[in-house]
Amino acid sequence: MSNNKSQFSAVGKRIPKLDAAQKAMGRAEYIQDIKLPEMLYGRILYSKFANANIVKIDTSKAIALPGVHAVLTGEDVPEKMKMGFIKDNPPLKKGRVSCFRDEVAAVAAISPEIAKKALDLIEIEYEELEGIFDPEKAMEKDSPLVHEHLKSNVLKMPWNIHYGDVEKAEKESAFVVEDRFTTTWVTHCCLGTSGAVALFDASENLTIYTNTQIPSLAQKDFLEALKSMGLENKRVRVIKPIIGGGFGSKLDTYAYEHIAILLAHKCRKPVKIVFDRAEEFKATSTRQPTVIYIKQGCDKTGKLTFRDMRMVLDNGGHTSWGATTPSVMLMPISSLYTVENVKYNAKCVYTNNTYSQAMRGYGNPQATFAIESSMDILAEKAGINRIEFRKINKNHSGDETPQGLKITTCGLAECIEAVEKELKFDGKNEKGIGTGIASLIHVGGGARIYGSDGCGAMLKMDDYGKVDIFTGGTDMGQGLDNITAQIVAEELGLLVEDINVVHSDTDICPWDVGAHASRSTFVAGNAALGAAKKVKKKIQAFASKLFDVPADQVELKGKLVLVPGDPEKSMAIGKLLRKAHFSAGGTMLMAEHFYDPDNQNMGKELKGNMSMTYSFGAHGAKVKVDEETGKIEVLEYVAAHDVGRAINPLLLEGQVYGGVVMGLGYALSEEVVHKNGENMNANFRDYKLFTAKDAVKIKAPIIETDDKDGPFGAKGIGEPGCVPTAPAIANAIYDAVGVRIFDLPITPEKVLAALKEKKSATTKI
Amino acid sequence: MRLPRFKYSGPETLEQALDLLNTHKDDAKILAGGTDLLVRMKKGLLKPKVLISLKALNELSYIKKQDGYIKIGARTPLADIIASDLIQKEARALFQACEKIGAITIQHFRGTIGGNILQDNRCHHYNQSDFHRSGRQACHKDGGKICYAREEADRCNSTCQSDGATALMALDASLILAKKGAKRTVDLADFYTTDGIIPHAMESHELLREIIIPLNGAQSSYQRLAYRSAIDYPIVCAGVLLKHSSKNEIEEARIVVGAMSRSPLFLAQVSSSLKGKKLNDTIAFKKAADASMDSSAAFAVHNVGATLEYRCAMVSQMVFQALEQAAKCIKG
Repeated sequence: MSNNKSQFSAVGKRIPKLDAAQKAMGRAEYIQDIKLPEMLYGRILYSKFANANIVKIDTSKAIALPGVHAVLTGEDVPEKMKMGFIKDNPPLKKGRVSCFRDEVAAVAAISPEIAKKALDLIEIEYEELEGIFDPEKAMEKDSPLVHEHLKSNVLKMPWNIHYGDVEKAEKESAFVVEDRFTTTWVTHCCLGTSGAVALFDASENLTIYTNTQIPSLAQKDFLEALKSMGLENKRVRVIKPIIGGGFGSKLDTYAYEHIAILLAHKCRKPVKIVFDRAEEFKATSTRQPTVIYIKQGCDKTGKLTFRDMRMVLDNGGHTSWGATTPSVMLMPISSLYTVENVKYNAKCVYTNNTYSQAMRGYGNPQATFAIESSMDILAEKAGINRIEFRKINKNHSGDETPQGLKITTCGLAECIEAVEKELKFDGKNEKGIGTGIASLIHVGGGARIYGSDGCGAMLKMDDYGKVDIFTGGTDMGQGLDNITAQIVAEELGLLVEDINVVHSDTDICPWDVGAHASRSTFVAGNAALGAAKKVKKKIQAFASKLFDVPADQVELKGKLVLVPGDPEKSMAIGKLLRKAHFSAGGTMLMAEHFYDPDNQNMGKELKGNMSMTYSFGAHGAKVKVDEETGKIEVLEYVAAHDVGRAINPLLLEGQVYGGVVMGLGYALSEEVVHKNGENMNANFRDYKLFTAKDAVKIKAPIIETDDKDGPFGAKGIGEPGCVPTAPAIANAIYDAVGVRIFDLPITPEKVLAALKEKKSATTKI
Repeated sequence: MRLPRFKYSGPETLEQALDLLNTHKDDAKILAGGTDLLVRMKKGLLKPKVLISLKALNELSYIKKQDGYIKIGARTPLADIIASDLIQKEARALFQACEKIGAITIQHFRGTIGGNILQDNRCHHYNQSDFHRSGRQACHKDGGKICYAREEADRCNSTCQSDGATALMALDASLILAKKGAKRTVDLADFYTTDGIIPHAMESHELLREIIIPLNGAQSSYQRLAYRSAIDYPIVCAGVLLKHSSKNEIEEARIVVGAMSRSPLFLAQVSSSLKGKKLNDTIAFKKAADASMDSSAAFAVHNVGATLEYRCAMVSQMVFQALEQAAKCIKG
């Protein structure tokens, strides 16, 4: 733990979320609350089949319904208007539907009820085709094609790397284990459902209110959309309302946004589309499901010799971020624990299932489930204690991993120790009770996925010592507003209440690549800090003249500008600011800073130091297995993370608790149930998200390694909380009753079936 | 999803409510907490023209001991039943069942015992939004001719997932149904039609008024299995009643298995097989539990999200646990 915490006035303080009171009182304005004059309501009609030709669409009855202003189909979408990073997904489908959630028509009407009625009046004739639902089958040479203009269902992706020599290392290994794991579709379940309000001004410039984690990139996407509509050189303004949760679900731009834009343009009125909960479940993208084949080996002393992993990813009917999760999965595959020889191949395969996008962890939870389960299996084969095994292979500060990740601060050892301290790993538990451990590595200092990993901040001070800071960052409930305010308050010696964080509008706020990769505290934090530092210099320069001392002797503390040790040379900051402003040649103090971390894009071999620093963690779980019903009870859970520095321990704990509960649901109960591509559990009763009663008591030790590149030493913590939960649980279950589950979620049925199999196997002997 | 339009009536007395029911009959539905009715209306599964609210009918909310019976008003909140000393001691299965229904907020602010008994049967093919159902042929319960849960089935196979009904059937409860100017008593066991589409033998102008549980010195227990600790319906459940003689022998047993069929299943044969057995006869309990599984397996279909195999296997678990628990209460 850092020993100079007491010197901070704002950083390190447990300050409740700045908009908490608003939200609790029901006064926060979400997309659901936005109402504009003359606004129309849009609704989307989805496909009735997983795979079908659209033979005929008759919208005449819908258009004729009083109150309906527009009805659109795939025919009305400009040819070049496509979504997804490979641009294979038009917002309304023409000619063919490739999954149940495909959008086939949309209406805008004066009320939501009339919009729904209009949808019912649209007549579509489909020619149903046989659906393809198994990605491993879809990969085969003679498989029918999901998209007939392509030669294969397998996407052309660069996910094929080999560092070192895995074959040689395998031959030289003393112990090798090989297993198959699967993870399935789960979904974000944000408190606030998706929605957007689009409107054009008299010059056909677009303003769009939308829940987005990528305001600047969305702006770019929408400019392209306008271009495809024949609207060149227009402006796009993206405004974010208060967002009821993101978790990665808002990192792309979506059909409902493009459709709102098309409808708004056609109707010459604002159009609002908001999802109901069933729609949210069915029509938003899930976490990327995986089929994972993993082989790992170690030498006699327990040092890992190689890791060979192969994956098949169900890409669904169209492409979103799911197909890029291998770029992040490569991080734990090559760099969780030290292993020199790494091979990784991932195939993304089109099917007629739903398609996936970013979700908290972005592939890391999936890969870590396989790696950390396999580590326990390998440790057992090698006859080495599973904690010892991890310590033997732990990452160190100063390492450069096979992928080229440069490890700076590394608190992995301390995290493992923190878990050991809380839970017993000596194997002497009561019957049916067991403990498990799993670690994580994640990017903690940004992630250079695009050409820029930057964020801009602009800061201005008023005449009273209050600050407005305009940041490109996004708060979606995770607390970027607090972090920004605390960092600025700390640097300028102000109170957090004095800082107004504005992050809502691309007309006002600078560019940011997006709230992903747990980068907000690190990157947006550094941008804010940089701007605050610049303003501080200006204040120091002015005070230097005023107090007649060198500028570097001036300090900002407790809303004062002062020279320590000289009580005469002290002035309330507001007074100083007014002096600066209301005099001949007056000035107001403002500054801007664009921070782009010194990390690297991955090159051809997908090598490069993707992030400036990495966050580490270790989770430990103690479970009780009911051998009659197969039900798992989580008795204790410890989640220790190396966060560099906790800017706000209260919010940090919130991130950890939330991440752990999300991870436990992922491990034990959550699953989007599909029957031939159709979502069967589009509600909270049938989708088994953990309820408040299922949540467990979580201990969250905070390890501070004070990273020199992070703002006040901080690294990212947004995602790590849900990364190693599944293997920690799987390992604990194995410790408890000797069965291992390889397929998530670990349901009572699977545990019971495994117990039965074990029993019959042992009785056979 | 939005509610379809309806007319709302708020009668102040039972008489008024029965009058309204008599007038509107099939066009009306009773609204108590609405946790079943309103959800189904939002999914477009039914569209009553009139909702008759029981909000003001406090006269239907009571728990009392009278003439050797526990009498519970149909509109009694689940929280009241859970808090009742009388029910905890003398009708323990009902207490245990209500404790598990929904979540604490539902138990306090919405859930009623009448509502729980009268909830419609469920099936994960049927309980979908109207858009989902519009993409395929209608099933029996939805006015069509096929069943998605059991291929080629000529009748509906939806499941009764009521915790309350299972426990009450074990307790040998009866119901008082009222209509304008009259009332009748019916054994809970006879209240079920075993028809998945219209599971309750009740006229559209009748209202459930009271639940009666005989007090006969027996002990009871209710066990249920669900994935989560709140909100979930039971995957499978069991209610057990044990009446013992002075010789610590079982005089009468009632074993009811719920969430497996169109109604809770009172297993008469298995129950009578326990007559004369000792309260600590674990082997007899195990046998009865396995026999319960065999008897109820025939009725189950894959329609509540859990695999058939698991549900059937767990019948045995739930019945066994309930028997052990009830026996323990007697000894304790």
